[in-house]
Amino acid sequence: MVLPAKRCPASCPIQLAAVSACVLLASAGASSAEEVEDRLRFHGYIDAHYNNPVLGTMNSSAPSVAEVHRLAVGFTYEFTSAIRGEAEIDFEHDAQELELEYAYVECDLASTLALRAGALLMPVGPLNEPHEPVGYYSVERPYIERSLIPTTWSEFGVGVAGRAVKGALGYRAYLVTGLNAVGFTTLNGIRGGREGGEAASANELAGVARGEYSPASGLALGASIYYGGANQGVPGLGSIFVSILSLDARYRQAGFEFRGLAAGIGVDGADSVSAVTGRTIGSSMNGWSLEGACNLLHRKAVDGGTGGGSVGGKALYLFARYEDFDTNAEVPTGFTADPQADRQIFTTGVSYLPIDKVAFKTDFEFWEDGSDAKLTRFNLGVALQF
Amino acid sequence: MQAQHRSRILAIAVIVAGFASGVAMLLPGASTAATAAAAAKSTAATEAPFARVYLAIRGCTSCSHCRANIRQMVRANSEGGEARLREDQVEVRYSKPRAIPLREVIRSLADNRLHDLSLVDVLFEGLGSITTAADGSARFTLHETGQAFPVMLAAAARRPRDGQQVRLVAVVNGWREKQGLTLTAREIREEI
Repeated sequence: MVLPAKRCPASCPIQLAAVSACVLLASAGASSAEEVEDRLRFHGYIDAHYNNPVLGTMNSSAPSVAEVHRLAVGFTYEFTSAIRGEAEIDFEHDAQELELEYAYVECDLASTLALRAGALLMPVGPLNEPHEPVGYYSVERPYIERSLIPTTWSEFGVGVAGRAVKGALGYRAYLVTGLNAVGFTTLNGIRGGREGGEAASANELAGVARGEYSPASGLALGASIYYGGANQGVPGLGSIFVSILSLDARYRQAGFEFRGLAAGIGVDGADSVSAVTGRTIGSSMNGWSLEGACNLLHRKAVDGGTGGGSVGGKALYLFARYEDFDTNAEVPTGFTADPQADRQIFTTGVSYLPIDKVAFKTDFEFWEDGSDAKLTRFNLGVALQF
Repeated sequence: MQAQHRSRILAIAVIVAGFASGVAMLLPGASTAATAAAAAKSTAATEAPFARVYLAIRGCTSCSHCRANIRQMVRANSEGGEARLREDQVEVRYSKPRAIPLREVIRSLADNRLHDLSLVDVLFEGLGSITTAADGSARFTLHETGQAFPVMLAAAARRPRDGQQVRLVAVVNGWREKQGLTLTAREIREEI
């Protein structure tokens, strides 16, 4: 019997137990309320949406929805200045679904090098780690970072995170549990194969690394690479390996911002996965996106120079983004590519930040897929983080 | 078999890492460090460090990813300063007399490329003395280092006598530009 990879309902005892254990662990070493207050920090975010029509359809007469898509809460506990516990859980879709975002211990090995162990956010793509909704302009996360790069993606593992070149080069390298290929789908690629650290099958492992280099002020270049097994002991599946390469760039200057992303995924053994699951799984999936944004409230900083800023911390971003991706770019011999997997999306809208932690957003999405289906979606959103 | 083997390696690695963390927490040194950190806070008012830099930041300072990046970026440029993150603020402490790499510490966040993080203000606190030149301009010289910064003092403020040891709290100016850094005194406390 083939079991799909799972997302836990809110009552999932494993996650609750893990989070409770982290909280207990965090508070165990503290001797007083002040000490706990000094060492414990809570954080979180809320991401509420109105979508017309609902996501996941190309039918313009489909119903509209409004929901608190994500309500995430987390904590950092500093045992010492060099050892921390980090955790975050996400109550999704009006708190109907509970998802463990991450839960790990971080130990500084040197001033700019740390060891991490636990459920780790995968350093793949520019959005998977810093995925807070105020950080991107659209109501929904970019779709390329949903259907191609499966944000938010965490796995159980161990690795290092550090900085070099006077802080200009950041890097992470982890050994983690692999994906579960039976969760792969035609339209959402490897997304359903995420294990999320939730009693993850650990028969297959993967290596993942990311580097981010800032050669000049305002410019950031990133690259991620992933390679690992994805047969988590499923009989008849054979040897399955997934490889991912993504490149991204971001440039910010004088109130303007440009972002670009290109990603490719290879599934070695896609024929076997397609045969076992009955879904056409792409042996090659790829895509790219470009985005431009302008802060209409940007003002040069009071004392001049290159820093700049916004009026009283307010920002009003106009943005436009184009995404083109195909999760059936190549399919195994004997299978037919689904034209709906080939998608182009143009998104344009406005994001207003009255303060840097709160955003009100609205945008239009213009979809077109390989079957010549077209859709226009209208979104409203409010987001906050603390 | 290979998969099982890899799985065991990962399990062992994670357990060893977790165990190492646990042992580190139980070691006297780590325990002392925690106690010292708590003690430092409780006595901060009376036992300020030799110098410290406060970096006021705006943007994502809450998620673990950004906080780890901020911590490491500041440390990479602080030449041994101890970086502490608080709500929308990074404090870099120097407990003993030494030249402070103020420009580099500021640049570590001013030139950062983290998502939507901006450095908005910088404060500097240090132990030293203020001397006034014939033209009326003043300089603040850090104790035992010879490192000096031009400092602007409010006309109405009472100036300490030349060479008197003081603790200066000042706004740092000019960090957005290529020119030298200057200070604007906010508070001057005479030290005995």
